Amino acid sequence: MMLAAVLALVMVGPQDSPRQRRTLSNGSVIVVESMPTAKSVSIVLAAKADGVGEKPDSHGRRHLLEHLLLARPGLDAEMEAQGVFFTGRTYRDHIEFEAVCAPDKWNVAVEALRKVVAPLRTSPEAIAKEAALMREEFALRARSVRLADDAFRAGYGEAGLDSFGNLEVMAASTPAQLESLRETHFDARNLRLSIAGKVEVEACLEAGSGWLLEAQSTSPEPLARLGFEAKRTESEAFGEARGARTGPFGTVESLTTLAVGLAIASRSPGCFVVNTPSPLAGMVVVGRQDSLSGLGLDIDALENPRDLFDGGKALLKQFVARSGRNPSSMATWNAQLVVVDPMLTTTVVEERVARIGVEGFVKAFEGFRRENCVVVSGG
Amino acid sequence: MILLAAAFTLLQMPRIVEAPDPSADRVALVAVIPKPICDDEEETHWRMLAEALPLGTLRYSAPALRQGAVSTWLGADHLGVRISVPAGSEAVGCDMLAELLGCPLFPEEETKRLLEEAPFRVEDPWVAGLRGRRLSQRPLAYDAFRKFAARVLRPESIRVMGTGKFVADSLNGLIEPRWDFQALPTGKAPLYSRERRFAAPNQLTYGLLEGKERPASELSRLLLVAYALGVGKGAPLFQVWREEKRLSYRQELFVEPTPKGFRLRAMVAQLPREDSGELAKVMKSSLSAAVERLSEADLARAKSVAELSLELGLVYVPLYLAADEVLLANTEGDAALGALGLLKQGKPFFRKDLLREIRQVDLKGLKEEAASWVESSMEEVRGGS
Repeated sequence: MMLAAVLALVMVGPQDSPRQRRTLSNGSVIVVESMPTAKSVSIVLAAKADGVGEKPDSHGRRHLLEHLLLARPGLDAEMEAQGVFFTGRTYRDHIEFEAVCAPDKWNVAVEALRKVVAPLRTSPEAIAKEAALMREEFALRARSVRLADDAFRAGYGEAGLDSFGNLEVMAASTPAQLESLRETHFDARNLRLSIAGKVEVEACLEAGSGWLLEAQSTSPEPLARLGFEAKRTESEAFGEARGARTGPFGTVESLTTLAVGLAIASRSPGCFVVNTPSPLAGMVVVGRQDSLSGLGLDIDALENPRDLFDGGKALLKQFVARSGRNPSSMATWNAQLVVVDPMLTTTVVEERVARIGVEGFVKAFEGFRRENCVVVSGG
Repeated sequence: MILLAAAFTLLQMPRIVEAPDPSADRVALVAVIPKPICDDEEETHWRMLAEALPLGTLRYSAPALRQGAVSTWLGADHLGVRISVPAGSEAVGCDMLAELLGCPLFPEEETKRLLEEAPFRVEDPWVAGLRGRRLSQRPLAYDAFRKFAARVLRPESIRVMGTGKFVADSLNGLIEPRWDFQALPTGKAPLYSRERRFAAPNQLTYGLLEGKERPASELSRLLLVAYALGVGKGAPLFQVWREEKRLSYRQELFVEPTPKGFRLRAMVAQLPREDSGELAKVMKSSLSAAVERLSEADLARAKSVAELSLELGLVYVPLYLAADEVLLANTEGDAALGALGLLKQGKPFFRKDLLREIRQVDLKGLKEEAASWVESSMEEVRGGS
């Protein structure tokens, strides 16, 4: 009966499998992936940043919110004793919370996630303490991420502000600002719930849809990121990086740029690649964080990028294949795909990867040349 | 005579100890190479060896190796080489491993570049704190590096473990014809001794508590202490060091391999403060109080976490293969755990055995073990204060 009631509220729309993915009437999306041989379950609640994009005067408040939502007194110990573990991650264009558990605890984990994102009751003292701790977090932030942040900001200006945030802005935040932010961030249209692992699909759809449909929507303003400027920038983080512009994640063009980035990185040990799936214009950043070894010079000197094509495409295929290797990576990957586009699936991505051709690859490689990309040098 | 020599050589070749797992979808091969005693220059050679091995072999180029699933790590007492291939491709994996260990190419141009870069390397702040030893600041010679590699890559000292989906007793048949160690100088590489410590190369202050070396047979007890005190947000490290004392954003307690066994080690990293010099003392005293307060609920939480970790692979295993390499409960992790066992006690460790031993510990046993570690641990503060 309950299932029938929930299904009646489901908006009928295009979907590759009604048993696995649904766009609900309030704009939220649920995706459930059954992995019968898995030993665990992962549940990821992602919230797009529509209406709460990073701006200089609120820069980092989303990250602070993530910290405070996870710091619910006693919840961690209570859940861990029941076998449920939480993590939170803040990205430029969305935020996500993940709970992992044994298969028989998935409903406990869903309830726990509900508690995590429930209205926030905090105090100026708690905010000050957390902000001080985040200063310590910044000191440990991986240089690869800082180099990528600097590339993004140089390329996109204010529309490319990092997800870590401004420590002063965070410290000055008020409980009311944070609760207002939470309400908009977790607007129904922003919500994406992804469940993967050894689960019964129907039961998860019922429970997850029921939860998502409780959310209201005020139609938050969609994020936008326009324009890109190729330039050189300095970073306080040691290392070097190059950032090439991409469109939204999942297009043939953006996947090709990612394949190029992976190919470049595979030429030299110690290279990193940063690319977060986003519905907006993005960037593939390739760099080194442990030495200044002339990576950029190598890229500019490379005469025939065609030589990298096979390797780059193979690495990208491997990357996509590994995204679903276990429940945690599968739930996260699925959540990020539906953050980009509710219609985007692994199958669609695989089809587009298969369409990557040599000419497109060579063209995308040009995006990493000095004159076309953001060049970051640090140290 | 020739036959005898050939037989002796074969006996010296590493044997793969197998643990087939029909439920896996991959095959993992892990080789561990014990660390020799290193001066500063050799320490840098040692670290570069991990990066130079995947630069290619006679039959596999560097991109081919990287596009396969070859990776290396540097443990406190060993170098690990891991190859992970889809089930059914174990012949390729065996071939790659034999080539990597027996006849690495160390291509001159790329290896020289690595060696030239080494003095200018800047490590990740957390890893730098854990390693606590800087690389040589002098340029390194290629020939010296090759000699060092030949001294370390001794077939008789390498231990290999194979896990995943394959037919039992099949791996040695695949790899034996392929072992072809280069002509190496004779003489046994001495095992590593305790490292000398140097200042951490950045502006953070590190507080460390280092336990005494314990025999390999006590690994499960050490892991239980790590689970109870350090893993999860409900654990004292998070609740006391981070939430209550606000010592740091990141704090970890883990087990790491040592020449003859394992030890527990905890670390926090913080921006320098006026009282940073007291950091390790505060860590110790606050943890000591937390150990006193350990309850049956804490033991239940620790065992629950251990099950999620060792049985389901949901949470990392607090056994650090290296400063930047945590053991995972999967096919590759099983191979690494097994190989460590071969190195430490002549037989593999298995997750199920460790979990069974952990389940048998009662609250009194946990408190005694935890208190013993906290009380006897060596305090150390490093870096800018």
